[in-house]
Amino acid sequence: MGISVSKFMHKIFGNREMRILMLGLDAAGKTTILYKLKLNQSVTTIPTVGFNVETVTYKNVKFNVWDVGGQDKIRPLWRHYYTGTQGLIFVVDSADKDRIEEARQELHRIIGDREMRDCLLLVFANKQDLPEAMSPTEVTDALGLTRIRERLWYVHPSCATTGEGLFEGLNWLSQNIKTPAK
Amino acid sequence: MARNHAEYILLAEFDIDKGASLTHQYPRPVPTDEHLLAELMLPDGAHLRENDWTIFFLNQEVPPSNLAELPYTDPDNDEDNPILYVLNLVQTRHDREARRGAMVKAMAICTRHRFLDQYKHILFLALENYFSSPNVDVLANLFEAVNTMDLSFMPNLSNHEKLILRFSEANNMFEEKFIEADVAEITGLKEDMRLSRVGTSQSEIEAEARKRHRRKTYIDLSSGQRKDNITSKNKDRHCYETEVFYQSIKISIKIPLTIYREEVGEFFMNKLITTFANGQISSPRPLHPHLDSGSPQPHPLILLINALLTQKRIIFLGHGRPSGEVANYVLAACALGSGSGGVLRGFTNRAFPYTNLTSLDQLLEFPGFIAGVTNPTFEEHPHWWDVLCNVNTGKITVSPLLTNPALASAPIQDLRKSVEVTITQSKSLSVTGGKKDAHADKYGSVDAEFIMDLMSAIERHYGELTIRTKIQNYIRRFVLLCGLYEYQTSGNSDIGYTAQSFEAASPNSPVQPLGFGLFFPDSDAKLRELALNKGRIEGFIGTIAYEYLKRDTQTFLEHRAIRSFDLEHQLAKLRDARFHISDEETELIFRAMADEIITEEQYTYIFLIC
Repeated sequence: MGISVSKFMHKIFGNREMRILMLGLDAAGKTTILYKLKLNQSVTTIPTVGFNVETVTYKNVKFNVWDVGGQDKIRPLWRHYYTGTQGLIFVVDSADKDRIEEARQELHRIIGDREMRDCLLLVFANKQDLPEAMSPTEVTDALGLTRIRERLWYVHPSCATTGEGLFEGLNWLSQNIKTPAK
Repeated sequence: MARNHAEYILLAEFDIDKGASLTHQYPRPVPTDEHLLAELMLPDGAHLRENDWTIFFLNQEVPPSNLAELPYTDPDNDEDNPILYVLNLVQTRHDREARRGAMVKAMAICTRHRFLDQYKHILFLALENYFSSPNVDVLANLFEAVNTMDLSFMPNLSNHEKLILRFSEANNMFEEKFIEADVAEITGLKEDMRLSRVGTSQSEIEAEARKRHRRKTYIDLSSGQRKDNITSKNKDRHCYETEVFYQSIKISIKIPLTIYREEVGEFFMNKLITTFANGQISSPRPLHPHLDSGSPQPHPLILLINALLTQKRIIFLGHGRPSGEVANYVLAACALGSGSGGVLRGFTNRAFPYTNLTSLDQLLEFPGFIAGVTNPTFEEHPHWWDVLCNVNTGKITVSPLLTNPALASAPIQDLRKSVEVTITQSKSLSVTGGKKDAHADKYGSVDAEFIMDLMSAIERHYGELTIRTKIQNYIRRFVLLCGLYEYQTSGNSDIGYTAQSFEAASPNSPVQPLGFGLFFPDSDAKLRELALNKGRIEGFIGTIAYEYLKRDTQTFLEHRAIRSFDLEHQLAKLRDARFHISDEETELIFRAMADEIITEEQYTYIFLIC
């Protein structure tokens, strides 16, 4: 009986954990997003050598967010982080039109992996503060998301430096997470 | 062949667009994958700290699956060692002018010397220079400075001499080995003076040179009194002192002379021990005969030692730690498994003091690797390792995928069977004796005693060398036990004495070895310990360390100074208060010693094992 009570409490208060992997091309704003979520302040970030990992608690969900460096040579290492991932945050520099095609290819390579077949996909169309930024709809099209079946995905506009849009994204993840992680 | 002290100098940078890149290699490219090299030089999380010292190795070869093909190297000689040790310094400098706000650069010295920590000062200065003028000349200057260091008079001590020196507190031990160096130093001074003072007599120059030489180290109160003893009295002969001049800055280098081949760099065994002795083993976990051996419920440190001895794949994970810190654990673990480098070999060849995901494929090719990582992803991939030691929590995790070893070849199964018998025998013995628990406490506690001894030594702040010596003795005892196990179960041993190992001291005397191998006061105790250790002994047989031990044992048997009996065994017998030795046997032992031990080499051997 003790167990079922605690399960019941979990359902009410939703004390859940969620493993999040945050990927994207270099200089998309992954680390800035991570520390904005974690510290709620804008930090000046320098390129990530290897990875950063932080725990962010939002609405009773403990997000373990892995932020992995994005330079092309180290992208083959991304696959080592897939195991157990429940949500992928893919960060796009909305103003970098030249590399949106590269971003599309990387994204499809990630979600095509067996280990990632069940995970949610949240795309942050980041750097919305820049004048030439593509809109979320444009980003959706450019990334070829409309053709994706059998996966929950969501594109949300964001500005990492001000924090706009970030918590809305986490909210979407927490609402769509299927089973609490053990 | 005289080798360069530094073989290569490398410079890597974190390129904003391309990631880790190797910018310069001096004097020529290292024959290895450039990208992997750059990734090792810029360890995970380098952007989070100003400085990170790290160590990694190059040129390691995957051991052949048939260990008979394992290349044999002389344990006393470093020249044929193929491994390059790399000391690397990475710095992150925040700079508003730089693109994305910072520069991350790393410089490394690749050397065959195991005292690579001694290059820290000079490497630090060189990287500083590179930040202010980024060009390859900085590397060239560093290369030249390190390679002009003079080691030509550094004494080369054999492993036996090293052992004696380690135990000896006397700073003037093996003084004679240094005389050549001192003489050379005086000759050098004489030359200098001859050039500066033409017309002075030969004897004056001589006297002055000696005086100057002595003045360098102590106040000379007995000038001219003791002509023969010209050495510098307060020099510590545990080290060889020399210096490097880098851009007219004199950097003193102190090379420890008592380190064994499996001891690389400056590491702290104390740290390894205290981290894991107070930690725990994760549970539930699979039981494994190799790991759960020696004690009924192994202490975390014993489990780690068992994993090292039986060649398990071991990871030291320190998330958020500087890479140099995890490297310390790996280097200390190599010494732990090898008996402080004085008993077993073959650990550093499969050690990766710092590694990361980029080098994963290479890592997984090595059986029984010992690796340091800072990326917690490794924890989530238990198929990559057998034992994971978390340096942040002190917790040791056995991979749930670690399965029982395939019951190997027939001879091993025979061993197994005979030991089953042994266990039954010893059980029945203890039951009939009606003092099972007393026995278990008394004889099953070699490990417990070792751990207690180790911990109390650390608590009482005994030095690093004392701790290492205790470990050396423990591993040495394990090796003797293995030899005994082989001999008991098959009548032969590749790693210890057998009845056939002994020769008559003189043509007329009979071959009478008086017992050999590990000494036990009674056979019950012996059987009990053999039964208790069976798992890890069988796990150790057939490992790389075992293969080296086999060959080193053959070399030892061929060249040993005392050939008619096992001196170590006899001394243990005479010392053991629990054992009642008869007068006849005592007489036999002393007579054997008197007959056989004549030469200086034989006396040195006694000195060594006392």
